[in-house]
Amino acid sequence: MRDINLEIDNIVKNNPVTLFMKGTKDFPQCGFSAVVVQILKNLNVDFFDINILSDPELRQGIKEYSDWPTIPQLYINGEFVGGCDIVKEMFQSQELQNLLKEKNII
Amino acid sequence: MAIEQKILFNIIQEKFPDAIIKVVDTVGDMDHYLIEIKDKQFANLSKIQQHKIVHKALELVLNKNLHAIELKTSF
Repeated sequence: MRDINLEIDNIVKNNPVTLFMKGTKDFPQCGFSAVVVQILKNLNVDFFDINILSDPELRQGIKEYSDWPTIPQLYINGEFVGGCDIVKEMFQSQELQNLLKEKNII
Repeated sequence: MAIEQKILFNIIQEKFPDAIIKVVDTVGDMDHYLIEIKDKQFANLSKIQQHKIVHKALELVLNKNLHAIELKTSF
């Protein structure tokens, strides 16, 4: 049987930056996901994108894993950073840039 | 889906009686809202924790009545 929790755990811990989103980084299929993609691209962050639309089990699984009801969801070094609103606020306040620098990602 | 701005505002006010609340129907379709909640109870909590409190408080309406919200919390 598929262990979604373990799968997510491996993904977020083995990638410095992971974005669970609707669509892909080259073709976002939701405005909220597109905003986070734009922010990460703007900061030249190399990130792993996961299209939850192509995987219903993962779509449900990530909501439970993070205890967060919406997509997109951004992870940095295995830690949940936030959804669109929080990432946007952190970008505007430079908090996101500082976090990425602290983790040697940018 | 969809909920009237006044009804949504009242639900939020009931859950956060001491907060300063702003509810804006961003698209004009009663289905996309900007919600701002300024509440002292958010002090010393991370943004994620602040948003989780709102998610929990508005769980029913978020699951049943609303397509999308933009959420801003502060204290």
